[in-house]
Amino acid sequence: MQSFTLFDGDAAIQVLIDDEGFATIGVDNIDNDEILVRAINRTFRAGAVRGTLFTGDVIHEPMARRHAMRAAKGVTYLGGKVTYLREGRLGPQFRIDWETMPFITE
Amino acid sequence: MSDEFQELHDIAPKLNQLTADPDARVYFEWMSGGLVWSDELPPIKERVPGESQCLRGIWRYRSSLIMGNPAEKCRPWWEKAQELFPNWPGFLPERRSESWRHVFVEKEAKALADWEALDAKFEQQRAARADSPAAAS
Repeated sequence: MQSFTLFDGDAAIQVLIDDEGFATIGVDNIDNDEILVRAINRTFRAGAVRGTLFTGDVIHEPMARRHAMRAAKGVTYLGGKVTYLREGRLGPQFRIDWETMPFITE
Repeated sequence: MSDEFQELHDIAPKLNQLTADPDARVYFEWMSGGLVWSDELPPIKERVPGESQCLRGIWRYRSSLIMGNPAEKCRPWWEKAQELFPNWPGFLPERRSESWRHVFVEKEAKALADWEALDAKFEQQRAARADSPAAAS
């Protein structure tokens, strides 16, 4: 089991990788695409083979609509399957599942 | 103590002692859809993973005030936060001024464009790898 939290300025993403190479990724806050790329790539480099990202409540309606559209139409994001989980206290929650952990060329 | 705002109770002591930085950077937080100033979270070494998610509703509400269209579902979070950590720099009146509207519009558009562009870039890379078996191996 290993874990790390990636910080980029005020943005933060937490990663937990179990002994079978499954990564659980939690988004605290995010202010640019670079931290997302760095988090996914570091997860890959750390040996994760599969993984799931949990968004938490997506309060930003345009962002929530984009996630919901991909979930409804089966459109992947960064190669992962987007699934609507539930209505959170302030917005919908989604998960993105990767059967194969991606790597993004920076 | 356990209630709907437990996470706010937990983080309140840290936020209430933050001081405003006149050089704070403003950015757009993707999940909340809110403008955030860089002095509104504790220093990295003092942060607990996951603790800042509870600020999403507060950032969203403030930005809805900036845009003149209050997000009422987030108002209870804003009001509870004002009660729990009134000295937080995020409550500075100038940070909810309409003068930030153009910044919000610009940064929101960039965030959404960047989110889509990242996936497009990834798909291009994946297609290129599929076309180049040597690179994929």
